[in-house]
Amino acid sequence: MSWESLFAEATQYEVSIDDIRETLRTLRDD
Amino acid sequence: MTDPIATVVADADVLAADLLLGGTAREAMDLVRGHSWLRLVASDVLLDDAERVIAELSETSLAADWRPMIDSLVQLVEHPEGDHPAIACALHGDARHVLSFDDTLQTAEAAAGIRARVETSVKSPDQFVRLFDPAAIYPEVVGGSYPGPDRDPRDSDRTGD
Repeated sequence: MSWESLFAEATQYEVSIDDIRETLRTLRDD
Repeated sequence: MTDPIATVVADADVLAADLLLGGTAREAMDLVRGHSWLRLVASDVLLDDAERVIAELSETSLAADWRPMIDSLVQLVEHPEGDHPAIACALHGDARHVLSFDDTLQTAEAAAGIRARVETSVKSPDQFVRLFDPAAIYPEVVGGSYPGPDRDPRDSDRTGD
């Protein structure tokens, strides 16, 4: 496994930075 | 121990964005992955947070593929439960740079509070990419003339040291 192949695998997901920030905030607030 | 100016903490949001978004988070992480003499510090708590974010926003299989890759890249430190993982990693890992998308860590008030505990600065990945100059610190950290990146940041994992 290389980083490039991992990034290629991840491209199918449509994620925004707001999704990431909100998910992390919720996780850490729990 | 590696010089603090060559030591970086990437918070869970930056690690997740490196994988799921690309952009400046990946540019910042490519800087780290591309230089064997830069040290990325993390804790199990921080990596667990990132893994959970990745799994929540994609699939657990992608998060599971990601974890050993990042595990091989970082130097792990331990910190007390309940501390902010990224700041605690900077404190216990002697890191001068914390990368985060959390605006609340970058306010003047937060910066003053953080600097009272540890000499570090919290930057967005964009700020890090613009301000961090490997060539400028290479003579101090390694010595000699900067040869450029010494690793392919996308090719394979590397062992943290």
